[in-house]
Amino acid sequence: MKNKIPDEILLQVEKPGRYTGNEINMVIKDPKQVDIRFGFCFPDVYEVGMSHLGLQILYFFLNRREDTYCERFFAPWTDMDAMMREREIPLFSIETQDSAKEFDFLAFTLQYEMSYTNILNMLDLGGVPLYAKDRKESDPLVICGGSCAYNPEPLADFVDFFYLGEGEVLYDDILELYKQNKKNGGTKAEFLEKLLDFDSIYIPKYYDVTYKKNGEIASFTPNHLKARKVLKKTIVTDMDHVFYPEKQLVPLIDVVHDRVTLELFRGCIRGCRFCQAGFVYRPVREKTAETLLKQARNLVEASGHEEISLISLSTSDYTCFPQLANGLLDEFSKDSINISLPSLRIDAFSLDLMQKVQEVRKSSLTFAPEAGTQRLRDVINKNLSEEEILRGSALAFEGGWNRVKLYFMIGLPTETEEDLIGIATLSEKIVETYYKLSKEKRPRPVQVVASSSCFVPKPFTPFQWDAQDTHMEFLEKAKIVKKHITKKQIKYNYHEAKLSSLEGALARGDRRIGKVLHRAWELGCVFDGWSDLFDYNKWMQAFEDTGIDPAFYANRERSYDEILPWDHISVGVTKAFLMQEREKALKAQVTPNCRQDCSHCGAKSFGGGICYDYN
Amino acid sequence: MTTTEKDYNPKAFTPPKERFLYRVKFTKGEEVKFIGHLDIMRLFQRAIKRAKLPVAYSQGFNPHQLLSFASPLTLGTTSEGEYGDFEMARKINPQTLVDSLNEVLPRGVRVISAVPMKNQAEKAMAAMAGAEYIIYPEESMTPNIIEAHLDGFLKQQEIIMMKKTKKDTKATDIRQDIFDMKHISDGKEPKIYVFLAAGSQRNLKPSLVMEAFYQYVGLEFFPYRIKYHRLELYRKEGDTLVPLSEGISDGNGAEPV
Repeated sequence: MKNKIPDEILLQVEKPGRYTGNEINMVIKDPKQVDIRFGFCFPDVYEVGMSHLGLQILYFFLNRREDTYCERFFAPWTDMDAMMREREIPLFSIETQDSAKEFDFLAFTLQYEMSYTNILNMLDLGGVPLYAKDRKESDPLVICGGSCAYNPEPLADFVDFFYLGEGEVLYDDILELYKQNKKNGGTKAEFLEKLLDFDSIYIPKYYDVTYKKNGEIASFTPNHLKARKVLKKTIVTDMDHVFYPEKQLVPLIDVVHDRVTLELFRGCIRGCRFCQAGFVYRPVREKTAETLLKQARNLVEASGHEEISLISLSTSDYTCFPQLANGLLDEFSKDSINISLPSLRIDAFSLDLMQKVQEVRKSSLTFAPEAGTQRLRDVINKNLSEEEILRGSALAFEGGWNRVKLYFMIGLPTETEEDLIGIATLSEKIVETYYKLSKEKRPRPVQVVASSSCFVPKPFTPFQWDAQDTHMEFLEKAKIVKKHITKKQIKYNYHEAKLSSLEGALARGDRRIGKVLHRAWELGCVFDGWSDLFDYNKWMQAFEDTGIDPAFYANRERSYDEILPWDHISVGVTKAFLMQEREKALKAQVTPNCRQDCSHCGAKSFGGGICYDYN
Repeated sequence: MTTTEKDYNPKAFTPPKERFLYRVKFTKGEEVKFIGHLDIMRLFQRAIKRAKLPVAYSQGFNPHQLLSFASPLTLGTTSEGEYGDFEMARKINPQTLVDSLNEVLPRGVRVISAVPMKNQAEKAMAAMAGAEYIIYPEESMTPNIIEAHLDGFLKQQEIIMMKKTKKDTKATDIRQDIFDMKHISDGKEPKIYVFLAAGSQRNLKPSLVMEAFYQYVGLEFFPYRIKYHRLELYRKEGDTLVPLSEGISDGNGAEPV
C-alpha cells in the first residue's frame, strides 16, 4: 500500500508513524466488497487510542463480519491538523486512508469528558456537519459509546445515537438492521426509527427537554410513540463465551500501553462512592482462569509482546487470582515475558508475587487511601484502613522496597481541615514505619510521594447530587495539606484544579453544554486533557459567550427531586440505591462489598454475574 | 591491544563459547518508511517471538534479545539494504530464519538473506563504511540540469556545507565523503546514484549532498519533496568496500540447506 497522504506532509509532522498504520494484525479488506464501512473513532492521539482495550476488542469483533470493514480514526495531533487544513486533506482512516465522509458509521468512544472537543474537531476535519440535524443522507451516522455515554446529554445534539453498554451485545443486530434497511432503499431516518426497538440505543432527537426558570430541567419527554422513557445499558453476562480477540493490533511505533492485555473481569465489588466505574459497570462478571490462560497464550503468540498486563478495576478481587498469577508465571516467565500487575492490594500474597515478577528492580508501591482519615474513608466507602496501609508498607519495606506512592482526593463531600491534615499525618506514619526497620535493612532513604487529585462528582454515583469545590477552594485545600507536610522524605503533588473544575461541569452537563463545547472548539480548544494544550481562559470565554454558568453544573448541590440530565438512562443501579448510599455516606456508614453481602443496588436485573453467584 | 598483567586472570579463563550469529539483510519499504530505528528494532524482537526462533538472550536480570542493527535510516527513506546481526541460542538453517521471519513481518519489511557469521566478524554497525542510495529529486531538477552540472559539482576541490553534529552545526567539507555520484535518470524522471561514507567515523547523509547540489545548480531546495532509497551498506575489506553481508560467512551453512 502506498500512503495517500503525501510524504511531504508526513516528513514535516512529529511521529508520522501515527498516521501510517500497517500494524501487525491490521485487517485488510477491499472496501468495495463490504456492505458496511464502520469507522471506530478514538478522540485522542494514536498512541493513547491504541492503548485502549475496547478498541482492540471491537475492532476484531466487527471485522469478523464479512460484510463489515471496521477501520480506525484517531485525532490528528495539532501539527498534522494544521497541515491537513492547509491542504484540505480530510480526516482519514488508518487502514485505507479513505476520508471519514465515505463511511456508514463514525463511532466515537467516550473515555473522558476532556476529549469532547476532539470529537467536534474530527467531524469538522472529516467534512461532516457537526450537528446531527444538519447531516444529510450521504453523511455518516455518528455514534457514541463508552463509559461517558451514560450521561450522553452534553453531546446529544451532535450524535445520531448513543450505544449504552458493552459493544459485543448489540452491534451484530444493529449492523444487520442497517444492511437490510440500506438494501431496501430505506433512509437514515427510517433506520433510526427502527433502532427504537432496542432499549439500549438512545436517539436524542426523539426526546425533548424543557427547563425551569431556575435552570433546572422541567421535563424530559419522548416525542415519538416508540421512544422509551428509560433506556437501559446492555451487558455481557457470560464472560467465558463472549467474543475476545485471538490477536491484537501490534503498533509499529511506541504507544502508551504496548502489551498483551488480559481482562480479568468487568465491574467491581467495592462500591467506592466517588467511583463512577464502580457503579456503571456493575455487576461483577469474571472470566475463569482457564479462559484467561488460553487467551494469554493466543495473544502472546499472535503479537510477540513481552509483557502481559492484567486489567480490571481491582485485580486482587479476582477470585482465581492466585491460580491465574501462578499459571502465568509458570507458563511465561521462561520466555522472558513480564507480567504487570496494576491495581493490586498490598498484602503478603501480592508482595510475594511482585517479588517473583519483578526480580530485582523494585519499583515503587502504590496505595490509594483516597482520603486522609478513617472517617472520610468511611464516607466514601473506601475499604482500606490505616492499619492495612501501614502493615502493607511494613511488609513492603521488609521486602526491600523503599518508595511508596499514595493517591488522595481533595474536595470530597463532608471533608474538613482534619481530613486534609490527615493526608500529611498518614504520609508521615509511613515514613515512621520505615524507620522502625533495623538500620541494616534500610540502606537507602525512604521516599513517599503523596498526590492529590480534585474530586469530580460524577453521574451514577451517590455523590451525583453534590456540589464540587471551586478551583480556588481546591487550591486552598492543597495549600493546607502542603503546610502540614514537614518531613523531607515526603513529596506532595497536587493536580491542576482548573481542569477538574471544567471536567465537573461537563460530566454532569445537560444538552445546553453542547453549545459551550461548540463554542470552545471554535475558540480553538482541542486535546483539553493534555495539560500543555488545555486553555482554561478559552473555556471560560466559551461559557460566557453562550451565557451558561459553569458553576450551575459543577458547584451546585442538587435536591433529590430534581430531574437529572441522565435520569432517562439506567445502568442497573437504581436512583433509590444511590440516594440511600448518599445518606449513609453523610453518616460515615460503610456498605459491604458485593462478595460480603448483596446490598440490592439493582444490578441483579441483568440476570448474571456476581448477583447470582452467592444467592 | 596487548594483554597487560592486570587483564590476565587465569581463574577467569573459560574457553570461548561458540556463538550463532546471523547477518540478516532486509528491506524497508514504503509501508514502514516512517517507522524509526528503535521501532524497527522492536518490530524485529516481536517478529522473532512470533516466529518462535531460538533467539539468544543477554544474561542478567533484564534479559533482552541479542540483536544489533547497522546504520539508522532517516525517517521517510526506503531501503533494500538494511542489516542486523541476530544471535541465536543454537545453530539454525539460515533459510529457515529468512522464511519464518518473512511469514510474520509487517508489509514493507522483507528479509532478503541471512548469512551465518564467523565469530570474529565485526558487528554490522562497527564495520560499516559506506552506503549507496538512489535519489529521486522533485521535478525542478530535470535530467538535463543534472547532466549539465554533475561533473562540475564533483570537480570541486571541496564542498563546504553546514553539518549538524550532536552538539552544534559546523562548516564541513563533504566532498571527500562522496565516493561516487552518477546521473541515472531514465526518461523524464530525474534520478541520481550516490555512494557515500557511512559509519561512526565518517558519515554523510544523501540529503546534505542534495542540498549542496541544489545550491550548486542554483535551484530552490525542497527538502521534503525529494525521495531517497538506500541500496546497500558496505564495509571495508582491505582497500576496497564490500557489501556488509559478503566475506563474513563462517563457511558452513552459507548455502541454504
